[in-house]
Amino acid sequence: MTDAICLKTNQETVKKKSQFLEVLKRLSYNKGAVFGGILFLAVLLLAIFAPLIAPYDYAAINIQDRFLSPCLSHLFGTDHMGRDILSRVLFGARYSLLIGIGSVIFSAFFGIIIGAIAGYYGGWADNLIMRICDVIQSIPGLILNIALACVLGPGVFNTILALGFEGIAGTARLMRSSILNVRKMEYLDAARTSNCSSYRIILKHVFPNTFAPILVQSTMGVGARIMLAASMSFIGIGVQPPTPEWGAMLADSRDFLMKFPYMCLIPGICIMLVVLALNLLGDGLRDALDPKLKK
Amino acid sequence: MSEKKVFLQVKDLNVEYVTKQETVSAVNGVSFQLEKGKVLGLVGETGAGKTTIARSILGVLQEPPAVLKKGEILLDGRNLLKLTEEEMCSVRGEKITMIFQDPMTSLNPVMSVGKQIAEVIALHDKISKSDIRKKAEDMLETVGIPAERYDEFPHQFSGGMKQRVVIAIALACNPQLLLADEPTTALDVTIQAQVLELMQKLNQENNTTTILITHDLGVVAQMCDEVAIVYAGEIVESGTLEDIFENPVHPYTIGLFGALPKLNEDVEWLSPIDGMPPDPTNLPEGCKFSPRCPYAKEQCICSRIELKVITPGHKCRCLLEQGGN
Amino acid sequence: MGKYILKRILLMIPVILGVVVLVFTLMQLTPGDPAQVILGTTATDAQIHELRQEMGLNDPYIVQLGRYMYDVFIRFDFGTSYISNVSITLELAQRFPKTLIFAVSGMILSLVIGIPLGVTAAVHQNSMADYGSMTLALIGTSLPGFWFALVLILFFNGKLGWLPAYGIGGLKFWILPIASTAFAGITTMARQMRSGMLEVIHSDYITMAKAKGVKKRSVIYKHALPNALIPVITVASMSFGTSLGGTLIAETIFAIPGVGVYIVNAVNNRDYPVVQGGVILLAITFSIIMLLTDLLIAAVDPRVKAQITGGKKRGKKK
Repeated sequence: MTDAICLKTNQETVKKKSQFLEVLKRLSYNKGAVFGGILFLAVLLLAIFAPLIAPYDYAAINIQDRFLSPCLSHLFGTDHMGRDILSRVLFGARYSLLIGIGSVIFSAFFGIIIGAIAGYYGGWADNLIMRICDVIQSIPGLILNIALACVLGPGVFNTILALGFEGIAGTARLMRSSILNVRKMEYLDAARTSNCSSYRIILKHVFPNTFAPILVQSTMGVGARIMLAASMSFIGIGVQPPTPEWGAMLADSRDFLMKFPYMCLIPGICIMLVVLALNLLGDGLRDALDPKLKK
Repeated sequence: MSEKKVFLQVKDLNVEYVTKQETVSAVNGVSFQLEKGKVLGLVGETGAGKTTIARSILGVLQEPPAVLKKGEILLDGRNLLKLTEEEMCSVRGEKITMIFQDPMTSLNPVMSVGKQIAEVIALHDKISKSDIRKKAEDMLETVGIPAERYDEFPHQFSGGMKQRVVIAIALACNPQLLLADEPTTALDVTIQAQVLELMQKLNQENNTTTILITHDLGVVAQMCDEVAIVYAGEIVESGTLEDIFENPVHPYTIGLFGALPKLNEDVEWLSPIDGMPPDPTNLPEGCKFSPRCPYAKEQCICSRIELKVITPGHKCRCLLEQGGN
Repeated sequence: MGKYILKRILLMIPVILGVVVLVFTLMQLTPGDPAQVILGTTATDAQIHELRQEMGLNDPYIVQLGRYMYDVFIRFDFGTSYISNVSITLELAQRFPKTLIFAVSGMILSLVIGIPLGVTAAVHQNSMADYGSMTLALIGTSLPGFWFALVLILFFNGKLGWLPAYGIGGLKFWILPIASTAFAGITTMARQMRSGMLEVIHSDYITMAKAKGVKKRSVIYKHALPNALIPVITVASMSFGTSLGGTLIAETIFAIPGVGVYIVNAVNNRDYPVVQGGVILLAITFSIIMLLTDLLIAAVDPRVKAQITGGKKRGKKK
């Protein structure tokens, strides 16, 4: 009996591993996804090692060196307070990634739990949760974020909370619908007839099959949140200057748009590259995880 | 005897599916011919290339990834592969039509079934609008669906009825060649019989040449005059119904019959063919069946085997009957 | 169908009520005392207490909520601004048309340009045109809208001097704002349309249509397009929400006196009733768009239509 169980778990791990490798292999065929992955990894590393790489202190004000165009000593130039833009952009990556990833984890955590409850148990719980999601989702994303930011006040942590809260409804809905899809499948009946507990069914059978859409949505979600966070900082309700978040840097650059366009172009290009990398990666993941395309 | 002339001829057809990662050889040098009014059964496992052969004849391969490498398809002496897209459009639906495997997905979900039948009539018959509708309604009645359901949509029909609509579309313009790709696989047994009966009736009435793709040998026995057994993109044995059923030669054909339950014999186990069909991205060099063949010899594995005539009209791609054994 | 429309409208009511409750509750949670905001820092405790009493701020939450809902739904009154003391309803009524024109024209542009672009890319799959337009679309979806607006100003106003950068006036003033908000919509539509079209093109009923001898052009426009458009309608309505958000920020950049600027200024001034009113108005607008979308889908998709009109369905579904 124990042997049989051992054998089964063994097979499971072998299968899981090969599935993971299979997805990676298919992902590696997708040039865009590889490019996106490498780009994202590079940005992640630059952000982590920003203190080592940054040539100057990102907060050091130097009035004499204001508005220096990109040159050898300041690769990306300096801003209106003489701060080195390259250093600020590097540290800005930390804030942008932190906000993007943090808020996605926040909404994934709560969204998955809430969606799983709604999808698995159904009935009044499902009804209630979905009506609440209807209400939340009938307020356009950025507008809800503005309202939330108004309540929470500005700051990095509050921005993460606002963006995270807004995303819960979407993740919960996705989780619920993939659970409902899985519930219709006959292998769940098979699991039930072999006397699996509900907990085990959710963990071993439902969860792995709902994982793919959540992963794809989250990957793209990080990019979307980085963009939203930048928008919020830009209108002054997200991260506040002098924190070198990219959106806040853009807000600073607005007054000098015509005279010193590099101040505006550089942070914008950074946002675009990170979001592009995540979109490419998300697209690639979606294709690689789609069993319909396995052939 | 004037009817005894070759109507459809397929010569050395080769089709590959090319993707970035791999190349699948779906059809490898298939040749056959068919006289007017005859019914040919293409038999083989899933993935053997039967559907690809039919789609090549109709010119509706999914390109990309499909690539028609070489071959000729002659209908009444005219090479279909040399026709322009425009000319081919007037062949499709009028001279050649096809019944697809899955009736559930073969109908356009946002167009009424009547309109879908009327469309093919409008394209190929030069008749007035009201006549078109009249004829489409007649077609519905012919396949046993009340004409007043003309304006309903596919989702309002059951699977069997959808397949009958597909058949009505295929037969609306009295085609000379009908390609039926597993027309009954997706249907209940009772509906299967109705559909086959309908096809048989129309074949007899209009003298329609038919290629019936199936893996159901029972259907073959009921419907076909000639049979070709397809394995890994090749015809391994072909002949009349009697040749194949009474006197099968190729080990694969024999194996197919062995895998079939018989009611009059009390056998405890069916004998399936051991092994799996070969990986189409990496086919064996010699006989494609050799890895599974109980009689395989070195020569089978190394050299390409050609089709050899056994008795007039009965051909087989195996060394066994050629004095090799 | 009429019954369905009525039912769908009735279903919208609880959602809108929910929105009002949610937004009102959120604003209750905001730090700071409205009376303090109105009277300024010099006010005495007694003055503040008096004003709180007058505004009903000392009433229980549920009473305040009830009063607000009564004002909004029965009297169409969103209250008055703390800062300017002007009726919010009046102000919104003046500003809303600009925001709506802005968002709707962006939407129309993205449909008119995005859909043909996506269809063309799908039909010429793997051609240079396909790769080119899809790369552009991918970059487009990755651009922050407000940054794109700045770049547009920099180029068309700063470098070329063709178009005005700020303010409102003739048609010229609308070009840059609408272009900047429509761009994201165009790229989203094009990408969605392409993938939807590809899925449909590979389906059996398209092969069937080809097998009937339908010409390539008709296969695409008569058979594939109507099927591929149905899911795109939903995407379009969702992207209207995004477009509303983009409009909000674009208004601040281009100095268009719409609802967006009103809300953003109110957030910075802690003028909560204005934020509340503005958010509710935009949420209702979005809900109405979603409602229209559902009705449109019901009208064009016979499967959905049959589901809601019921009755006439025969045979098994699926």
